[in-house]
Amino acid sequence: MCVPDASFDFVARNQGLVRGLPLWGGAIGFAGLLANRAISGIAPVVDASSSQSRADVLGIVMSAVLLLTGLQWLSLKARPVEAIAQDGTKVAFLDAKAKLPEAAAKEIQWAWEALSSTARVTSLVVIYQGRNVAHLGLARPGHAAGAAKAGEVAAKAMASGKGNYLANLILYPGRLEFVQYLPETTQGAVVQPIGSQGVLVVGTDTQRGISRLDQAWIATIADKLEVTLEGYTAPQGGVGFGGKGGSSAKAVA
Amino acid sequence: MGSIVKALGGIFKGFKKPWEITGLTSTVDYLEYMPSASDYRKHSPGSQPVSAIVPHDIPALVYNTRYYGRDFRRNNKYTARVVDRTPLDVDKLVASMPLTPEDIKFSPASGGGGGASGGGGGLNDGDELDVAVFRFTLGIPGFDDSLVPRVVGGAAAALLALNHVLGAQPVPPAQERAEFLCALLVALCVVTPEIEERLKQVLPGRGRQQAAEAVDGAARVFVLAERLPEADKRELAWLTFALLKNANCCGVVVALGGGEVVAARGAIGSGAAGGASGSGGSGGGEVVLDAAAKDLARGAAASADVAAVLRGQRQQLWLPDRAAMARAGVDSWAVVPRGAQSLLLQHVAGGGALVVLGDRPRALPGKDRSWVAALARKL
Repeated sequence: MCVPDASFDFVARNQGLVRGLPLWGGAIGFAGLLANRAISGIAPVVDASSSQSRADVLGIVMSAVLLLTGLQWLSLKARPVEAIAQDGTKVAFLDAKAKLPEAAAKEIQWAWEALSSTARVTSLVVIYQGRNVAHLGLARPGHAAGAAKAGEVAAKAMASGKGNYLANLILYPGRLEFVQYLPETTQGAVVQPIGSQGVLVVGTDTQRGISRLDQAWIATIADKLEVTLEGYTAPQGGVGFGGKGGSSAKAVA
Repeated sequence: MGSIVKALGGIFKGFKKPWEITGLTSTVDYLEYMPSASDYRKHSPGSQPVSAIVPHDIPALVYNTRYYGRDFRRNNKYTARVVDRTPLDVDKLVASMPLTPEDIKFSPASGGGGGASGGGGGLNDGDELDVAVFRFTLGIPGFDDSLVPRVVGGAAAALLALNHVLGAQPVPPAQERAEFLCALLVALCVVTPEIEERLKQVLPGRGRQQAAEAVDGAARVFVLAERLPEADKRELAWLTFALLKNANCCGVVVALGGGEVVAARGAIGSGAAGGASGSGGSGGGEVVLDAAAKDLARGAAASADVAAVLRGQRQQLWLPDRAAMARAGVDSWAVVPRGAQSLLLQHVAGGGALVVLGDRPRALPGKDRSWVAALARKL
């Protein structure tokens, strides 16, 4: 969440006021010193001749430093990130036919609950060994939960072992693979591989709303899922007997 | 006579016989026909006033009659080129596109200079968007640029005092007013780095700040209770690792219901660690856990807040700095090192607690605290 922490600090509570403080201080310093000169009838000459002008010079130097600091602080402002309204349908799909181990199912549930409460996450999709094992949160209206497939971006992430954050999904031509199972209005997606056989896709409704910290947490969660799913083989769908595909009805000559 | 003519002829050797003169200059009238140079060559060919309009056609439609361009036998520097007529594979093109700023291969980057340094400085949101923001740094090694206002304020204060003492006595009122204003400015300058620090702490999502190398009065331990099953141990190991890696904390202690401490990792107070440093052997490790359990029990008795967290009436107790820790009686715990400046106590279902130590005041921003709460729900 890009909402600043406003709990315990005076500074945190009055961020706007405090951020402008050096700028105001510098401006008032300048203006005050000049006004002082004007009122006292001394010509505004900046040199070190009299003790008055020496004091003024020091004041002006400090005002300049304060102004520069204030300008530098303008980059400290937290960017407000707005959420775009989503048009997806809520699903909470854990593939029963996949026969996930109990621990893994609970972990995926916990991951969804944690991510949705701490980060601006609207959907979580787990694809393991080509099978959509879980889809929690928002899904594309009309999409049957459980049919998500890993596309190019996800495959690349699995191959390279590194996660990928598509901050502004609209700009990427590769968004087609995500929009098939996530709502059309998903603004960003994080793709994190689970080992080399699975991928965790996290969708958000904000552009650039997932920070480095959130990505680090998603990576940590994916690592844990990898360990939990070790030794688990997703049953390949479609074929009745053991999934090998070869029909035993072929006559052997 | 012949010899006289020959001799006379010799005299006229260079002269042409008149009837042999031919051409334009044979009559005297030729001067009328002799043009001057400005008549027959008014403008040199290179600088004619009127330029010719040369009709030409589209070069691609004009057949090139020159054979040397097509003579591949003699001229094999120009080989026949094959046009790639494969249809464009959009998917492959899309897949090879850089998806993150890290994927883009640049030519060797230029380094930052001493005067102006490019690249987002520490003020931006971590290094999420590496926007080239030029930030002037003084480049003094070992000196943090955010302390510049403080240094300037201090120097100005000293000089102002000097000026006041050595200046014209009695001090004119104008100077008094100026000095009063300057004193206010000095105060603001000195406070500015502190405010900057707080503002940076409030910035969300900055990620893990650099962990301190050594926390004062702490020893690095990693202990898990022996009696736990393997799966639980792995779970706790991952949980503590995740917290230490992603949140701004330096030590984690996990206690399950019934006052039983099951894990301790990171920089724990050396009072509790005792001899259990480094390898955390089985005998020595339990010392830490016992000490932690005693601390929790004592803390619950001593402070109502701690007891409320343990019972579950209160989900989190956040002690952002040493003063708050002292008020809650937490800084006397053995597991809390001297160098820990903030502490978060999180309720775990079943009467347990998750203790997270930070080595800086206000170390855990709101997001980190939510993650601690989420992790506690996992247990």
